[in-house]
Amino acid sequence: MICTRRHAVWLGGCAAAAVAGSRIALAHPVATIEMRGSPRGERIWYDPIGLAVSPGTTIRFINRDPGNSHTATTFHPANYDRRRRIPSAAEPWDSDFLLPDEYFEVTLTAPGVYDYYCLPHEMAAMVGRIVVGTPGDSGWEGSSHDESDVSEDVLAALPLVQKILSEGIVRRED
Amino acid sequence: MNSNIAGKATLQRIPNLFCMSSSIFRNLSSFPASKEPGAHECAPGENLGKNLTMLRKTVIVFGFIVAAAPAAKAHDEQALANAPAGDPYVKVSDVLPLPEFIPGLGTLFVDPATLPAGPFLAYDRDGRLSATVYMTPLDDLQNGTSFDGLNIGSHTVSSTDIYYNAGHPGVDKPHAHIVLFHDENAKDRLAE
Repeated sequence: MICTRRHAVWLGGCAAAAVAGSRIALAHPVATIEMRGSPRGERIWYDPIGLAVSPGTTIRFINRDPGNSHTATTFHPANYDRRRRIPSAAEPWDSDFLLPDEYFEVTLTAPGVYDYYCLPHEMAAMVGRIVVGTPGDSGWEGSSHDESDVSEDVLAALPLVQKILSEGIVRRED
Repeated sequence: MNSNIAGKATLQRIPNLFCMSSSIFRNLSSFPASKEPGAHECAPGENLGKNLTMLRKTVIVFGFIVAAAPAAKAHDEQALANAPAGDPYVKVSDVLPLPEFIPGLGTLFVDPATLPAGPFLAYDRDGRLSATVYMTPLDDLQNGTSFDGLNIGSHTVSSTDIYYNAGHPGVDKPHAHIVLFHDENAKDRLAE
């Protein structure tokens, strides 16, 4: 099952979003991944770039880059006919373009490794990896070994699953 | 008037000016009545008179062009001085998923036919033209593509910044931003 929402965060809506968020937190955990960029756009990245969560966690992608738009798009045939890099039991998602301060939410239930990318910034290796659950979970599916559809830069940018599992959060190294 | 075409027209006058200058130099150099084999022999006074007449015409034409060029330039600058830039320019945020005001670049207008290089016309929050921006993909440059004869929003340039950009909607490839600021305070006004 997948649940996605896309929102714009407005001044008046922040409080409401915070309240809603706290209610959601009671039901299931929420983790935030920010889309960030340097002031002149020389560098762009997800923060964190690697994240370990438990099944059922809602991931909130929010654009904190004031000068650019970003997406969080899974590698999947349903998204621009890409090779699948998420568990077969998971549904693909595509946030569409998020302008500054807009956010998108998706709830991940299938255990395994999810690789995603920013549509306009894949060439700059703006990618991220989420690990849901652990290898011992029923239905776990590890990272894709298919390297035919991604560049070497993308593969190098993706944190190792073991590192994400051991550290929980992996941030981009400058 | 199509500002793009107007911009090119002004630029294209430059070689014309050089041609006219060359013509003057040629005429001046022929003042001492050079002779060519088989040429019609003229009386010294007749030859001098022809040269003077040619020179007078040349100077008149040259003067007309010199006088006309700033007028055309002023017209172009006036047309683009304030947002919104007219046809064929479109506001970038209307056609691409980008913020209306991009910190550092302001509000951008571009003629879609000129993508990716531009020019992108950058306006401050008051709608004043502050910079002309070009965006040139690095791999295109490396593969031999050149971007020549690009137009410019204003003929006054106070400073230029060149820096790397990893990409954004419209110009996805990593590219260089070449920013020509049109007055000394332009960078500050575009900053935020």
